[in-house]
Amino acid sequence: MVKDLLLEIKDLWVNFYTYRGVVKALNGVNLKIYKGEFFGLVGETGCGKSVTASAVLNLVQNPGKIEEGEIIFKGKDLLKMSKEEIRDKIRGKEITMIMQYPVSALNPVINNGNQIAESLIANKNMSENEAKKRVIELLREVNIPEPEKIARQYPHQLSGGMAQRVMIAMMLSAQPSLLIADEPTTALDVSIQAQVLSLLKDLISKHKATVLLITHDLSVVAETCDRVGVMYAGDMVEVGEVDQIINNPQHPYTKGLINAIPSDRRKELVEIRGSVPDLVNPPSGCRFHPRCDYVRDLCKSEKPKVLQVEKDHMVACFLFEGGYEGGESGRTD
Amino acid sequence: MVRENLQNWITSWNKKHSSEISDFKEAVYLIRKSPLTIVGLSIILMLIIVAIFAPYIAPYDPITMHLDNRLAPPSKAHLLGTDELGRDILSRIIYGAGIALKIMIIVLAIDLPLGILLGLIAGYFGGWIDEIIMRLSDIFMAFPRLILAMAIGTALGPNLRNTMIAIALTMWPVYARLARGETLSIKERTFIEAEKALGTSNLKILVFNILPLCLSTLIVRATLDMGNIIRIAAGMSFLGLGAQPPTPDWGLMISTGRKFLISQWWVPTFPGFAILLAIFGFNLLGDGIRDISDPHLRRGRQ
Amino acid sequence: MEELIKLREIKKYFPWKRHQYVKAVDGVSLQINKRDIFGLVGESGSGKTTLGRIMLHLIDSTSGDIFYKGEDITKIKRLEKSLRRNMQIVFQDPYSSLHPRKKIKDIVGSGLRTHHLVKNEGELITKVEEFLNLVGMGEEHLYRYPHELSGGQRQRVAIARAFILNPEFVVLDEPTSSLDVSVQAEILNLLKRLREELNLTYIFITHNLYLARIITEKIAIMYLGKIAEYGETENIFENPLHPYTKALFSVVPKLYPKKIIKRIILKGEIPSPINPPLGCRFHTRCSEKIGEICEKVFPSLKEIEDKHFVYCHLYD
Repeated sequence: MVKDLLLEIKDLWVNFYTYRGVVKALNGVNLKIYKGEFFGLVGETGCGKSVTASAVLNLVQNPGKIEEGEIIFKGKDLLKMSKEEIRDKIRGKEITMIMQYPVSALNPVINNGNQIAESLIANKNMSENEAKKRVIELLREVNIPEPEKIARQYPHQLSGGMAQRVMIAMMLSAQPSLLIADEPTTALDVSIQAQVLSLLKDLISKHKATVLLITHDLSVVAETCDRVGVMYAGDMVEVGEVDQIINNPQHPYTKGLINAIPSDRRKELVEIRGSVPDLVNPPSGCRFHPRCDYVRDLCKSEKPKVLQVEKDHMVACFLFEGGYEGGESGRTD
Repeated sequence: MVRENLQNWITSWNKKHSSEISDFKEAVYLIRKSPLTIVGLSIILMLIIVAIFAPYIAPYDPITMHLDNRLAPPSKAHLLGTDELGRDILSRIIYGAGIALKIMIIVLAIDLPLGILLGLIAGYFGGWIDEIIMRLSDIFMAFPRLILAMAIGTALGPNLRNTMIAIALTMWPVYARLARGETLSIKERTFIEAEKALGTSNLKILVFNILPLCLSTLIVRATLDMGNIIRIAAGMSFLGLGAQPPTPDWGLMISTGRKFLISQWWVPTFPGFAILLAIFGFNLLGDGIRDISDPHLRRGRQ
Repeated sequence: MEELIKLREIKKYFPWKRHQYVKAVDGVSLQINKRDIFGLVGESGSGKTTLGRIMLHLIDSTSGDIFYKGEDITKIKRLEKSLRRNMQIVFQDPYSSLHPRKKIKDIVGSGLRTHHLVKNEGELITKVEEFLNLVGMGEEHLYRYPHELSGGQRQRVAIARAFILNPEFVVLDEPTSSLDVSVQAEILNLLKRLREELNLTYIFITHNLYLARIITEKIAIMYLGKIAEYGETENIFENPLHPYTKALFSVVPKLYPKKIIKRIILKGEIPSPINPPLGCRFHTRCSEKIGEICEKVFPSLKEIEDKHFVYCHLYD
């Protein structure tokens, strides 16, 4: 079954021009997201995952600048679109985003129902009454009990989990093709997190949407996502299906990450030696080489090419001379 | 041997204070980026130099009268002319700088410590002591500053010393409230809780942990107020409540020179410019310092 | 096993608006022994953070008793310095637990000065250096400011600050929650090592079950201000008894998801600690609720297997 390509990020370079120097945040990132899938982008602080998400919506703020690259969404390069086009057609419509702290993303002086209704009226040309009805439907869809009451309430009255569900309702109202969720459950309790993630999964299959989930928590990805991309210091180091990445990790960083996560199979946590590099002066060649147990001379001078490990599983590491170059276009279905 | 020791000492001092040194360099860099701040700083530096070296700079004595040369227009001998008692206006303005600065420094020297002390105590301990201090400050803040200063000045007697006391009394509540506000937010922060867990006494927490963090806001506010102090002091002197003749106080000079505004305009005008320049300089400096303090702190915290 | 801390029916109610209280801790009894690594596990509103602070006497309890080595310290307003020295804490957020304008040497050395453990600056520097090395940091950090350090480094400084006083027990309040996963591993291994070297007792507060399993030996699961279940960590993991514990296990995202096990998705929100449900606090979300008794009566303590205790009507 051939999967449809929804979003393709090609060779994305992003720099931040700060007082201390130029932060080379994204180092030529490549990513493919297919229609209908739940894709997880995983990495630690400073890896560039949030910058990648902002770039998709062309929301990279000063002092950041997108230097090079293409972001192809449904055949068109988002980076070449005019500001108006992105604002009118893409943001909040085709591509929507939910974030870590939903309450601060909501307008505190408008009640919840009206906020959702506003976007329905503006974007879908509904009348006020139609919109109000649809709002209640949407709230019910996201499993909010007593939707009429919640619609009348204000954002600050909502708990974290409820607020996130209201956000999801708002995003769904636009019927987007791509939903970007940037650490949506990090600030939530574990029991609430499970609710919200399970809700997202249900809605995805119902509405045939695609989700890009950004998180630092590999366990969350393991439970919810279909495919995973692991980022380190501005590079995409490994991409593959969740099973492949968790059970057959190839990149030393991925392995290190898995060994450092407390899980039911682990009694000891194994550290990754060294620390995350300063992106103003990143290491030469492979950015992970100072911390890698398998480092070779080549790693210090050249940036690793993307090699294929198995079907749908790519890694950027010189350890795999056996695999052939190509990136994902080399795969066969 | 001595040189080696000195070099070692310098290197180790550099190492110990490398953070402060880079902060200082950053501050200088920011100052250089803001031309208005440089202007303000220059004006103030000039003012300070003039005030300190007045006896050497002023061409004439500011007090001695020369009744044969009254109300002379600006000329080569008297660059800014002479006043109604024949005194050189330029010299009087030069000496007046020192007076203006003195007033400002003394007012701040009273208000800053007083305000900080009361504000820290009120904010940290809360309860009835907070209530008392706040209500006291309410009383002082209920009146417009100049009116209150005038009232106190009149009550105490018109002279420069009482002007300074009067102005100080009208301004301390601002600093107390500012210090209290800062204290209220700082005391909730985790590192304060950490000090308590370590057993640090309340006094040490206040002085060594909370105070250093309040200082920047208070100093910024103080520099922004410098222009105000000069203005109010000039106003008080203008009304006869402050400096008394023959003191070369700028406000007094305007007051006594007022009636010559039309015909011998230089008599009140130049002192007026001096006040204008001083206030302008302090305002620019104050704005500049405020701008430097804010993003600088943010950047430092990453 | 020497008893270090004993808590009896500790309650902490924070006043909130008129005549209402946030019942952060609502009747907790526990005993911590010397050399324990005791975990307090729960979500937000469980009261674990408040309980940790109460054990340290940083917060007064509203009612209940605290015993330290057998001595009743409940009523003491301000702990004498020697006691205060023995109980230390490492906070969750390394970005706010260090004073932004103080140098690292002064941050770590603060306690040394307060308790007169050093006579002069020279001795302070020596001792601070020693502990910085102990936590894996070099003497180049002595004169730096917190903002120059990474999160992991700051947390190491916080650990040095607490441990330099040679305390008897240390409360670790989610010490790694704000850190990246790889840094978390370093800090946890450091804490384990230090515990062995310095012979300490830990009270480890966390919301991460698997983290608790790695470091703790005994554990108490808290929910809405009360304990649901407590005992030895391995027992609780092998044989969770309380429905909340079981649900928690089921709901925690796992790196190796067991697709066979049915997930108990908890219904509803965590109730507010201002009006916690009567009876068993968990009954509003419990899938194994028996009936009215769960709604009206708080379960009494039952010991199910050796040193494995639970508060649940299912075991009456």
